[in-house]
Amino acid sequence: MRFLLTIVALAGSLAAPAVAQPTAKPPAAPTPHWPDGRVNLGPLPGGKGHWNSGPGLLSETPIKMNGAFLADPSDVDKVAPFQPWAKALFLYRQQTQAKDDPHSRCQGPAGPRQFTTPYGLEIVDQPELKRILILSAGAGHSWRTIYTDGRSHPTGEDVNPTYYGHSVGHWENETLVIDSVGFNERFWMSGRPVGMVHTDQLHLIERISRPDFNTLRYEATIDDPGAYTRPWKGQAFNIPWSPVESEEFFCTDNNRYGLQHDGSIAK
Amino acid sequence: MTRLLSPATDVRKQRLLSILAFACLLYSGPAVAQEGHPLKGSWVGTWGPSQSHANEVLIVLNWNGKIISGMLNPGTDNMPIKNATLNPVGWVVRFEADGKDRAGNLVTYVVEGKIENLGLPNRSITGTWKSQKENGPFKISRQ
Repeated sequence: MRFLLTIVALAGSLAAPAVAQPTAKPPAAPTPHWPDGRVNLGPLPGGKGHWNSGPGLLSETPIKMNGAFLADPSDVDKVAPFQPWAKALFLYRQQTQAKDDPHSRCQGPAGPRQFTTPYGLEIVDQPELKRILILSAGAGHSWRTIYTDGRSHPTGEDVNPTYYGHSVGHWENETLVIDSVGFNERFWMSGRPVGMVHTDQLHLIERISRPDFNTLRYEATIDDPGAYTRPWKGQAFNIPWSPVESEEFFCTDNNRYGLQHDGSIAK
Repeated sequence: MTRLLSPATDVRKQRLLSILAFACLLYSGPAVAQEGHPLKGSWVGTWGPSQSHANEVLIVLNWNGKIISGMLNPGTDNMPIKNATLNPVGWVVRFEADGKDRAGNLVTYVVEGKIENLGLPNRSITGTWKSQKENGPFKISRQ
């Protein structure tokens, strides 16, 4: 009997499928740098690639999401310190499935939304011109200029409110810090959760780093006394590297109306 | 057929029609998107003692993060608004404005309405207004 049990046990162990050993993912290449020591936020010289859009979330604290919408609307106070009207407007946009989103009518993906928009972006460093361009592949195929020549923001009558605002940047060790003001009020500044509110008082500070070759790290601080009760910082999120050229995409190509999230046509 | 209007009158008429057509073109232009504070912007519409006896009214509203300010002009004069509030529950707007009647007496207007089509650039506000002597409905749309 003992012999029989041993045979059965042996047969069972032999019949069991081999446990798959987890394939070790090769470590990402290290952060690339330019000869002068600055971090290279784009492809290597002669290489190609772009930053794909990730599931980045603009929220002060972690919240459960259902796509671009709050899984539980009562989490709204965890997202940001809204003023009452801004919270009500944000919730209205969430409850109406973002049917009025200007982005669906090809308006620019400005503010933090630029870093979560489908089709991704490229960051082009132009040290000889002392500026960095952020090219949005998605939405309206637009670009944003970050001046790194030490200039200050325009003030008073010289402010021309635009989608991307006026951006100046500088490096803090391995991190590019972008300071932007002068935004217009024609866009929603977040895609996830969709519908975050801002005013023309928005002062946006973005911190961008590349902890390894395949990862862009993004963090936004929102200072907008027109819509929020205090400055707040969104949780940092990662954006993955895609080793292929970004695609040409024009939102306006044959876009006559703009599709709603439920598939109907916005008029 | 007898000509009823002189050539000079015809020219004046054509000129007037051209101006009216141009004004209509300007008026029917799409409102610029305003995705920030929903009251901010210029609003044009009518108010009066009744729907059939309504006058044009212009209201300009602004938001500085703490206070709603602006101006009311029902065709008489620009009146700064005061005590303006927006209750997000129902999107109810309320404000007051002081003006003067023809005799120079103080007239205080109290305006209360509700924002409709909140998500659209050309959203509207409908409601009622009243002063010491008059009252009536109004409807304004964002330009």
